[in-house]
Amino acid sequence: MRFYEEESVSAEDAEYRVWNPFRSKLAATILKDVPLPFLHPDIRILYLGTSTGTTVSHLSDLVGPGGSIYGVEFSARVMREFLERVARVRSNVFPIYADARDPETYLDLVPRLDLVYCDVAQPDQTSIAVRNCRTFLRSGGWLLLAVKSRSIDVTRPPSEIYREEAEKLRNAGFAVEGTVELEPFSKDHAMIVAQQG
Amino acid sequence: MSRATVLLTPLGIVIKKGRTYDHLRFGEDSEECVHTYRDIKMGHLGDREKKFLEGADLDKVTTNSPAIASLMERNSLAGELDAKAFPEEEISRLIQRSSFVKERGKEWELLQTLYLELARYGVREQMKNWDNLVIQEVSALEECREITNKLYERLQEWYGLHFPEFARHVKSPNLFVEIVAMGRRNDITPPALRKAGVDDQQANRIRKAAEVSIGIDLEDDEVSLLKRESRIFMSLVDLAKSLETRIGETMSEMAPNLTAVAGSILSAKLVSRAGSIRKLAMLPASTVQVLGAEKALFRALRKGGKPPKHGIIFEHPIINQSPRVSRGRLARLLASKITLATRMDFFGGKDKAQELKENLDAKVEVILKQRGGRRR
Repeated sequence: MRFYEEESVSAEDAEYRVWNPFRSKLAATILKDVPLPFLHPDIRILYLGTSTGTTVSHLSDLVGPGGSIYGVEFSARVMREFLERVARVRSNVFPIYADARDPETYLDLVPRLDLVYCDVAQPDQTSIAVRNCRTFLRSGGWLLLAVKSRSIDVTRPPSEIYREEAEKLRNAGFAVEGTVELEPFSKDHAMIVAQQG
Repeated sequence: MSRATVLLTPLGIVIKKGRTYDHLRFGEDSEECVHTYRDIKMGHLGDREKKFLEGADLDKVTTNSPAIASLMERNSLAGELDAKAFPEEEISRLIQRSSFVKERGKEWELLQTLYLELARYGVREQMKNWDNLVIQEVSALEECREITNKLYERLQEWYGLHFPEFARHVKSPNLFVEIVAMGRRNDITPPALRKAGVDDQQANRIRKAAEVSIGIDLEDDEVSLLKRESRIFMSLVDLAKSLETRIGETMSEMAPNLTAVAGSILSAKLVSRAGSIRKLAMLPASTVQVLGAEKALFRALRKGGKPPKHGIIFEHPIINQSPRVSRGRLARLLASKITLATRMDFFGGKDKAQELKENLDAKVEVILKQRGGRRR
């Protein structure tokens, strides 16, 4: 089944959806040869900043019926689209209309989980991610942090910002596995892969 | 007393105390559940829920809900409270053991539908109100501009008595007032001017004009009044800037299609004239075309004569930057695109901002060519 105007390919008895790295930073990360061994069926994911749900729909396929994705989004308009396009038709996606800055407000809606995916494009995005990890991520769980350097500080070189955000994670007790810039798929974006101690 | 667990879900509450499990379901249909659940999150505990928690007679409590924790604390329903996220298995176990959900293994399915309802409810609530706020903000913006215009006129006259040669040298109202706030003509120093963004050549001219000015002298009290009025002007300009930013953010978030066609400020004004985004979406394009020109329209209808070509949509550059002969047709085009875009926004269509904008620009070009006119 298609959920946005992506291509899909049918082969034998299965249907495969094309995962566009220009639209999804996670797809771009995978194409950049970053090993993500923790990404497999049946895991539980907290997804901060679902936007309209492109990446969530692919993760939903990936974790399968045994996994679950808790998707947090704060913009009413975007949430509406996310609900219609993705959450309504996927039983492993749990939508949460809330501000990712306040994990306390959805504490009762999210269980402890294996992975936090954070793509919120806010200047304080790293601290948002850290707070959510502290609240929900199991020990040894993973964080995927999409850093948009331009929403942190437009005036400084992106690589400097990536280093700084990674440092913030280390100070918060994370082991930073790697940082990868997502050129040419998205400009001035990087993905940081980190593991909670 | 042993440690108890209180689990809050959108479906209801489960309590585990020692080896006993108990549950309270918020309601049979999802609407009841969503309401009760939201009440609890807002800090209101209904009688039924309160009795349930009281009846459990709890002391040390672990819960997954800070809202429940603070409600229990406020009502002295527990001694020691601890709120944290539960593992999914524990949530499943609590729900199953308490036979809270009849169909075994269906609890997450049921919960998922409630998450959907809950999110929908929140979105609807938010969507209901955004236009009310924008209407106030855009009205405040219009008032800010009226007031600053008046203050500027007053300051020109007023300061003109002291330094009549000055007005000629500065065209921008903001800069004019910023300089007036410096005080007497002899207080206008080159460093201060440079800080205000005036180049050296112009600063020199102002300086020379001040030296030979024929204006009257001012006493300290009079200068202080002038300065105060200037500062009010500047703070209103600042306020207007913040209002514009805020309106721009809200409009492009809540009505991206309309904003792409008409720009955020004009869009907000249209919403304000119509009364709400809903009303604007319901208006025919022909009405949108003359919103804000009611006086001229009804005069034309009453006495005969030419109806107005445009109301506030005149503010759109497509109209006010085009030759007069084309403005009528352009106004009809723009109004119909505005109506289309508003309906897409209000009735939940997709964000097709880019497409709408390109389509509009292409049609504008056609109209301008037909008339042999060109946009200035």
